[in-house]
Amino acid sequence: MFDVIIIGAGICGASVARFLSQYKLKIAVLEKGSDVCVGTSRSNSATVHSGHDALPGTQKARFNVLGNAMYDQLCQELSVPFKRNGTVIFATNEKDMHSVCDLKKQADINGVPGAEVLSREQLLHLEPGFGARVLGGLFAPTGGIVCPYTLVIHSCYSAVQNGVEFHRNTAVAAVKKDGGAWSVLTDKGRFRCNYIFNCAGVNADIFNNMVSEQHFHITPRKGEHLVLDKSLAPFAKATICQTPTDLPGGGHTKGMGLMPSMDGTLILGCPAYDSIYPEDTATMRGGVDEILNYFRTFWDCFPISSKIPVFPEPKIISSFCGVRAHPDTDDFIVGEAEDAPGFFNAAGIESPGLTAGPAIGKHLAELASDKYGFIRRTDYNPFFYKTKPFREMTEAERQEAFIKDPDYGRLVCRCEQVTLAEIKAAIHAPIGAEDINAVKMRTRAGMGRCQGGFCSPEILRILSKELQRDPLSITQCGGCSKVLLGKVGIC
Amino acid sequence: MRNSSVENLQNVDLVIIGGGCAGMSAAISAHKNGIRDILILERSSYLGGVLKQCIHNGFGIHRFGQDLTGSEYAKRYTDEIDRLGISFLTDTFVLSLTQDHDITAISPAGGILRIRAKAVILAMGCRERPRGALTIPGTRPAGIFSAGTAQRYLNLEGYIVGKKIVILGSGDIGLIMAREFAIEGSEVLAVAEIMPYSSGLIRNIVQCLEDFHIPLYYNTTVTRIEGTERVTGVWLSQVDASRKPVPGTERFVACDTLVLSVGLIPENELCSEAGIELSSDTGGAVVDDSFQTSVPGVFACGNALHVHDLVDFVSMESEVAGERAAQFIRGKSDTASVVRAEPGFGVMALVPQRVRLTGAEDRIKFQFRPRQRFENAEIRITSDGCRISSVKKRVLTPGEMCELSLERSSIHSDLKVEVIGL
Amino acid sequence: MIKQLICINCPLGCRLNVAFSGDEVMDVSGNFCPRGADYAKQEAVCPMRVLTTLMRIKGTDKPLPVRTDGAIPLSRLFDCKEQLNQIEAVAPVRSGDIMIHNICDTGRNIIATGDFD
Repeated sequence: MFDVIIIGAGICGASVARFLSQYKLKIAVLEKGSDVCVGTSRSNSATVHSGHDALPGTQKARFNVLGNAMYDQLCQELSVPFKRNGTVIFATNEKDMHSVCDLKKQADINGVPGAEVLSREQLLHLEPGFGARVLGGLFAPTGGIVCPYTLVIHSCYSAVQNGVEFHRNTAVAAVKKDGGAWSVLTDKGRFRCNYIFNCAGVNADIFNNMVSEQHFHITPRKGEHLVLDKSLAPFAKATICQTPTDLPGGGHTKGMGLMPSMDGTLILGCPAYDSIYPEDTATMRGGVDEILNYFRTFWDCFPISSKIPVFPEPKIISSFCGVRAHPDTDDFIVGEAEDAPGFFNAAGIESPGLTAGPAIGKHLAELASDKYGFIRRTDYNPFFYKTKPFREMTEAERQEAFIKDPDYGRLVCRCEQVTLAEIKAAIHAPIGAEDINAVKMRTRAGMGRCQGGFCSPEILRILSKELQRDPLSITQCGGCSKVLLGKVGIC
Repeated sequence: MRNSSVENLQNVDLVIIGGGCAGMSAAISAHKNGIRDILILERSSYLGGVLKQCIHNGFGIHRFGQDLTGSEYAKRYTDEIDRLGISFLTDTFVLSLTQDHDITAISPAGGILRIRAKAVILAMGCRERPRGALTIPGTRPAGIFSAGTAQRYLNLEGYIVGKKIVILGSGDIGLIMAREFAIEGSEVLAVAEIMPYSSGLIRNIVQCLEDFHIPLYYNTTVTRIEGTERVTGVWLSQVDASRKPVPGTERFVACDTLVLSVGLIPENELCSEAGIELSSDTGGAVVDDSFQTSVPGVFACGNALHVHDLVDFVSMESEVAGERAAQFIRGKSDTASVVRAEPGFGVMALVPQRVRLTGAEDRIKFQFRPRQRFENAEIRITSDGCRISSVKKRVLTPGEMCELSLERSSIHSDLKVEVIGL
Repeated sequence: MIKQLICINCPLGCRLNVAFSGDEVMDVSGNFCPRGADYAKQEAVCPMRVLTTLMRIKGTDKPLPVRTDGAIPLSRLFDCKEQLNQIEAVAPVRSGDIMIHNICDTGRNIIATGDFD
């Protein structure tokens, strides 16, 4: 019997888990995926939005601005790469400049600090190289970039430190009232609890609609991103987008943008179109082409074009597609279900979900505690400390690390400079990596320009050895995603 | 980032970055030319580079007059390295190289190593273009491998990566792997090639595909990958003259594996910090006819310089680089004026890009790849609009490196190398 | 009987038409040079190949690279591989060691092409 079951280990589930772990509660997080952070929270543009483009008065606006303000302390506590690099929304015509001014008004109402409309000259002063077509834009200095999967993973580790259990590969099938408590039925058995926090991403409507009469519906909304090589990192500073536009191929978006990432890569994206299947994260030719066509046309507007004059398509190293949970209410659904006391929703968390997630987690924990009288622990530890990655160490730090642990002397992933010591640590972590993608998310091994071509056989061998499993059983991303299908000489 | 303490700074005459055939050939040649203080830095746990995972034959015909497998060819060099007592470190990765030849590496043998070299040879080889770089739409399941990775799993580790395989790309690596998969009992359902011709050797089309009844589809590419956890199939489409998929020609091929043989990229990440000029034509360093880069005392050879198709030529080129590096170390500096060599029509990956007007050798050898297939063509070198050398060829294909040499004495100003159809 | 072959001697890849009966080649056409005719005579009647493949090693998943020490008939390739699959090499092995004598009665031996300790 648990006090709390949290469904989903994305940014909301992880944040709720961490904030609830400061109370004396027996908490379990149930995640259907093979690892934490395998849904929307992993596949996005890694943007910490300032809050200028959320509609005033909405939960989106509220939690966006609250969440944004939390990021410095949060990322420091959890050893998460984060930077306030600023956001620029530029316009190339007078009509769009009006949109920019509207965004500024919106930013003011939402309480976004420091947002201002900049003229072309002022933009050039901020970041030289904006193209001739750029008339001006909105500058939001509180906009930032974060490593989203590191944030979620470290939030989970922090929760584990404070006693939370994580059950991966555990898919919730149904939720129902069970006397005075809840029964959560999964493919790994039944869990009973007093409180449920529904952070189930694109599937959150399913569980809400089982226990509450106030139904909502979630439409999976897809959007592709392209990832460009780290060698371009020195040429991009702020996150830069064009004003929201109707895309030629249909659909609508915040506006295509160029987002430097904390990994050093550049992310381009993203279109937005509705899908039917929540689990479908396939990239579509149309989506990828939308991004390519946009940047082939508008590359010159972006400051990076002053150093790299032609849109560098050969520098594309990867593409991915995120699926966001778009609610039919058009706004976040955050709070206790009125007709289902003890059942809390963090649902419909599409953009600005990553930014809002920590604020939502904090809010729900406080809400539940205020109502149900949770008792604080005296030994709550908000900090998760992680050693600096080898690639960020100075020479002296590297040598010191090697002396303490000789596995720092063996580089496994050449492109991202990840050592054997770090891969082993990822495997033996509080929620350890059990497959190649999990190692990748915790260390960046395999995310570089060769995309694991060189290091993945070595990572497979290390996983096999550290987990004491047959190499043939090692998977790419859990489940049936085996990497190897046979051995030589045995048909 | 730089630790200014020189406590653990080692001085070495010649450091060779990369212990594959290029690095080993260069080392042996430098040794023959009198240099004894040599250190090879190799990131894998063995010398031999990619040759160690090439178990097929066809190597050494030019170099040794024998038909050897890749592993046998590599052994000739590793045995010689042993015999000569040339030092090397494995599992050692070079983190940075400066213009002053300061090298920082990470190694199980001591952690951070700092070495100052009199001369450096870049022999890092190349990497494969991954699926991500092609933005093939679809899911991201297990079962997608570049050909070299599949080759490594099979020939070095003993594991079969798939049972029903589609190969994209009919270059030699893709063809060789098709045969290996077939011999191991896997089914190779198709080889798709986006161009109207293969860049691989005809020998390999016959002995890797026809021998095993593996269909080869020209003007075809993979337009979508299916499968949530493991590949369940791919969609093949025909392409038009501009290599764009033709709508309506898609067909689904059920398979569990997609192997990609879609291009090699020379590894030159070390070059930017050292200020070594790179060529966008080859992807490798700009070098003169002595294989010296734009930084004096730094040489480049092998796949890191330009992608080769035969290791024999890697060895021969690297021997020259090793010899030159030896001369550099012995203080023989080069003050010769230099002219440029540019690729003209039909020519790409031209090496060298600079030619010294004076030098020990009487003849300069150029190597390049034809941009397309030519039949009955002339390779021509011009200078100031005048033809100074030419050779007729019955056939030129992108899969085979072309050579043309000329007398150094006939060179006075910038050159252009081009292919003229006849 | 007429068979079509592609000559592998050079990148021209001449398409050869070979007329033969049993073991006897009567005519070769389509070749640009005499090497094509020579190639066709053997290839049409009995294509020969060097087999390069892998053998299991006892006690490890790592394989031993091996080859036939000369060409064998293409038609015997899979028989030879099957015979290879029945046995395991035992370390240590040196490149050049004979692993199997006279594989499948082809008159060729299987030799190691790499060392294994």
